[in-house]
Amino acid sequence: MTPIKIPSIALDAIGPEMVLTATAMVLLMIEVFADKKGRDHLGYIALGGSVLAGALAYKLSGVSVTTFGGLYVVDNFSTFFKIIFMISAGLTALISVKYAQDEGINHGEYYAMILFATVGMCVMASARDLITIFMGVEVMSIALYVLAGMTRTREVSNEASLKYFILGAFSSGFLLYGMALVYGATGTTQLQAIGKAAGLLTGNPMFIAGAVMMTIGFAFKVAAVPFHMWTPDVYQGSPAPVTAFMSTGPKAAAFAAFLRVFAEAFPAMKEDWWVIIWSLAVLTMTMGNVVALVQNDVKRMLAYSSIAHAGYILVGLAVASPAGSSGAAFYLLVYAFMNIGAFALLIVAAGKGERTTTYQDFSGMGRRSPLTALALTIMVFSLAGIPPTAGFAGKFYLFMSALEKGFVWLAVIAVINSVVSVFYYLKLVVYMYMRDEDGEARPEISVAAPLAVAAVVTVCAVMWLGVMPAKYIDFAKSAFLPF
Amino acid sequence: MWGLEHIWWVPILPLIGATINGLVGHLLSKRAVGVVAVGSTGLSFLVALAAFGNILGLAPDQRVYESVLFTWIQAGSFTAEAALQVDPLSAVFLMVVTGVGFLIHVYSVGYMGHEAGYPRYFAYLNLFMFSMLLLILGANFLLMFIGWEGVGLCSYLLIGYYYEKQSASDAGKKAFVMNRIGDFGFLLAIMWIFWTFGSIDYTTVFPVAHDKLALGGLAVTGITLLLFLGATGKSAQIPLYTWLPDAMEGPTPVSALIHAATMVTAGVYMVARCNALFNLAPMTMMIVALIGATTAIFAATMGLYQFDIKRVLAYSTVSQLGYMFLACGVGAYVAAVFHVMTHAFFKACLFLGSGSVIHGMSGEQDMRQMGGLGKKMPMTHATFLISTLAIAGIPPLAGFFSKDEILLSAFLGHTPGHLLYWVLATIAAAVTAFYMFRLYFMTFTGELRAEDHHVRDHVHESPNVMTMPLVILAGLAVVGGFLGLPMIEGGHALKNFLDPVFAQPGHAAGGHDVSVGLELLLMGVSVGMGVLGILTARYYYSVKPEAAVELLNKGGMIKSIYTLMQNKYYVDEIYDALIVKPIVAVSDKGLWRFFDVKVVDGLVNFAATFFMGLGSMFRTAHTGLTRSYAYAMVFGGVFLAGFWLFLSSGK
Amino acid sequence: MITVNHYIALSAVLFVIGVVGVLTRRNIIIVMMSIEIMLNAANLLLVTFARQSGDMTGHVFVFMVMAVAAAEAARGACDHPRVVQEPRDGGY
Repeated sequence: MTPIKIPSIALDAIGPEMVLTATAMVLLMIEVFADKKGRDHLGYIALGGSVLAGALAYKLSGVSVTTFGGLYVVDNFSTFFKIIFMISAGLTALISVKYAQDEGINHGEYYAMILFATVGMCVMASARDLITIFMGVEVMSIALYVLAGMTRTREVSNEASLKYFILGAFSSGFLLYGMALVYGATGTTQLQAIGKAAGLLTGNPMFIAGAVMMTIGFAFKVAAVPFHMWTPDVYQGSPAPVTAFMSTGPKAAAFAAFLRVFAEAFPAMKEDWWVIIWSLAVLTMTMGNVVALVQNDVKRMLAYSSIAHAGYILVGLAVASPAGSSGAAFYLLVYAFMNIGAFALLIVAAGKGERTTTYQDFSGMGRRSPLTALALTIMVFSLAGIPPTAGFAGKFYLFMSALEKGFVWLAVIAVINSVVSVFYYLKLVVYMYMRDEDGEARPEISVAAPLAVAAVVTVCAVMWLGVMPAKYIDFAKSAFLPF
Repeated sequence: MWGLEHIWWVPILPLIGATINGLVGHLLSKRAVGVVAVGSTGLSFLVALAAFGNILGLAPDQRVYESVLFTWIQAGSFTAEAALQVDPLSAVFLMVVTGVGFLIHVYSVGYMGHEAGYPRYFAYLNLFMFSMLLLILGANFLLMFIGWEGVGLCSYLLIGYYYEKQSASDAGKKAFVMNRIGDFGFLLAIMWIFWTFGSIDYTTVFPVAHDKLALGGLAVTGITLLLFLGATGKSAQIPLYTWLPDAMEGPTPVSALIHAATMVTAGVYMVARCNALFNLAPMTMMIVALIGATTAIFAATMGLYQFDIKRVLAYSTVSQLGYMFLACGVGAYVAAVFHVMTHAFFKACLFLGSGSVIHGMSGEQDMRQMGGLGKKMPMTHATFLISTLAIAGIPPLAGFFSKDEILLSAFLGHTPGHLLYWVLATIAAAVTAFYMFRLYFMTFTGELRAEDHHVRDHVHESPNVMTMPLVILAGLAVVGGFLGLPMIEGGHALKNFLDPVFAQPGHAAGGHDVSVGLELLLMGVSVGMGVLGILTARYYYSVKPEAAVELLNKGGMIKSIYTLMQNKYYVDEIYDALIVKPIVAVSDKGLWRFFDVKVVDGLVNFAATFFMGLGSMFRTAHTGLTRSYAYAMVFGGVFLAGFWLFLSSGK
Repeated sequence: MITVNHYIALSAVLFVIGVVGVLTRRNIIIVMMSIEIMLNAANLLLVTFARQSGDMTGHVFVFMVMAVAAAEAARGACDHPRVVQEPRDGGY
């Protein structure tokens, strides 16, 4: 009998994941034993766990190891994305504290689910094997299905959760079937081994079918048109902090896995791939922006805007160059800050039960709450890509990577799109500063301390990344993938 | 050197002012708000003055100072530094912007004294100063673009300042849309420049432009046309000019600062800054000159029959900007910059004067209600008259020198059709003199026509804080032109100062070889046109006002021309019907409904009946939705697979 | 003689059945079952290829998928009572 070979396991490389998991377990325990008052600290514990995990992840920068028998890799690419995830999770925990208390979802499992989803995201960023990718996707998704339906008393939330679950599972079916086909065609699930085998397989229908089906799965997760249909409903129906989370961390994770699979497993298909992603990018950003133009609800507008941003990030994928992948990574970092910031302020404005989220509800906010309005203005400026905010630096770097590779038309279309997007973002500013209140009763705007902290952090980050992006872009550049 | 080394403070000081007033302004007293706003701008002016002195102290070929603060964006081969550059061109603009800006801030303290939202107003105004200074001091296209966006935003916010008025917020929106079209061109041009040169720094791009780009080639023509598209948006030229007259909904000092003296000249600055590129694109130059000349005459005729005092001035601004572009188009950049400067003086004075009139008339802007204000508002009257003479081109006031130089350059230019432009511009000069003096006579002479006795009794001269800037600006409108007086050694002071910026490689930057006789003749023609305009205006609006009425009552062609001009040639209506309505219709009724409802639902319905024969598959909208999403995914997937197979089979 | 191609064909048929089920059925439980069929079609494929090449990875993958499917089913089950109690008799 041959002895079982135990592959090398580098536990220190998965420190962040372990910390997150442990924190999530602790949260579940606290839920069991703590009284109502004790539960007020849940959010801060989750925040602490994310910060610690983020610090551990940051310590791993520069480290490059492949472990768990090649299933798992820690490199700068994964580290950069993990930092994005931790930022996303930590800020989400922060903006959830008040919200969860108000909406009656202040339970350990709420925060635990956020952290479990984050673990799944980390696995996606680090996976170098189809099996680990699938596991990561599912760990993340199942936790998100639950989070979307957290506010059980609100029907829209239930609906969102169910839709997300059905469609998510449906897309997982495609992803898995695609993986099975690729496995069949190449005889391996290791990304780099697939990449080697794929060189001989160009034109093999089974392989192409597998790649297409995997693309469908990932396109669903990043909400690319035409696989975006779930996004507006789910984003609008989910609790606002969860929407903020879903649109940043998990989206970044999906992009990370998407990028790694296509950089390492399908480099041979690059020539066909860019056409596909090019079309997806153009469709996605155009569709997202055009439809966002006619929305009346700010939360739904942000959902469509998130689709449009996925389109911009797809530009980095279509370019399929080191600069493109690090541009996408940097943009996702920026997007995490600005979108969560925008949602934090949306939570402030919406009040209990998220009743007031239409544009009309923001009228006169410039006077009712000048600082909130100012912070929200900075956020939407950044989303619109107006200098000197981070959104501009991110877009600039991303579109520049397209220009460098000669994707002139793609860059031009992206620029036209970001010009169009200014209209609906600025509409919010117009309502805040140039409309008087219409006399309808709206909840008094009071900014709870954690929300205020989150707003200040995101505003500072957005301004800082916009004015002094060089250092962070350098970091992102070290996190490229070899296309 | 104290001054140049502190050039960063020039834009930063107003930014600090804006931050203070924007964040805590509502807690401060009105006085403190005013002190912060005016003080920050004043200090900024002093630093600028010191820097200007330093520049003058340098040898002419060393008058370029660059100050790098930090590397802003570095990505691959691309570097953008946060750096400011002072050279003669930006120094001239720097003086105009900070100087006029400071005076208008002072004036605003008096003018806006009764308004609610006083801190907000000054925060915007200071923010505008910051953006404008960044625009002219930035050492690369990206910083210019940031300033460009910033001034647009502040202009938009300030136009909509009286947002309770529907017309004001509509005007803000219009300005925004028009500017976006222009900005888009500018952004594409920047990308193209980077693509061609691998850099966006002025000091890298311009010196090599001559070698890298073929004269009249596609690249340089494309770049410059896109740049010029940006300029038409910001500087209100045909076809993107209609926002400027509407922008008069904003407070009057804003009209003076942003919509007359500074922001709208940003386009001229940009074209002048990029002269190295424009010189290589003869076709663009021709278009610039053509658009400039056409706008000059077109806008002037539109100003003929307006009754709103500020709208007359607005059309006159559009028209004068046309002159500046005409000058750029025929390669006379110095004349363009010169006119920017003199125009800033007299037009700011005119706007502030009109503000003083409106202030005295309790907010009335219709000239038909005015008249005889000369006696009651002596200071305003005197300064207004000086500026009106200046814009009419009467020597020895500032407007005469700069306008004359433009006309001369057009006459002698090499651009195709330059004589036509000269004729157009000369006629426009007469028209300008006519409508400006129509404005003057209707406002300041004759009898007060207002019927409301509250208004009649209330007419008063404005406080000193408002009239002092008027006096200073009028003084500048008198002496500002002397910079253009011919010196002993050919050329004039301003020309000698600016020439290093506009020198073309391979060409000595020389003046025109003109005989003094021809120059005097042309001068005589332009002054004669001005006098003719003034006398006609005097006849119809002062000596024999009933003549104008008679002329109109005759009907026929004159009447129809009158109607056409009064309605501004129906350009707004045409734009509305041709562009705005279709866009709204497409985005609201079309694309969205079409795509989300028709295409997706249509596909779903089709698929349902076709594949499953299931009749109507939606019982309620809700129950159908999730499945229709799944359908969209499947169809997307099938399409994707087909596409991919198509691609791979092609090889 | 049953070859690998037969398994692949069976798996493809199963997958299509699953997809069509999701697209056409109204009952939420049947929809979830359809998704389950899709996953199992993939499982069949994985096992087939693993057997064909004598590689264990496919088998391991199948176990993972089963675990995931169980978790998804649990997630779906907790939705079910909430949805069916609504008057739309479990329609989605």
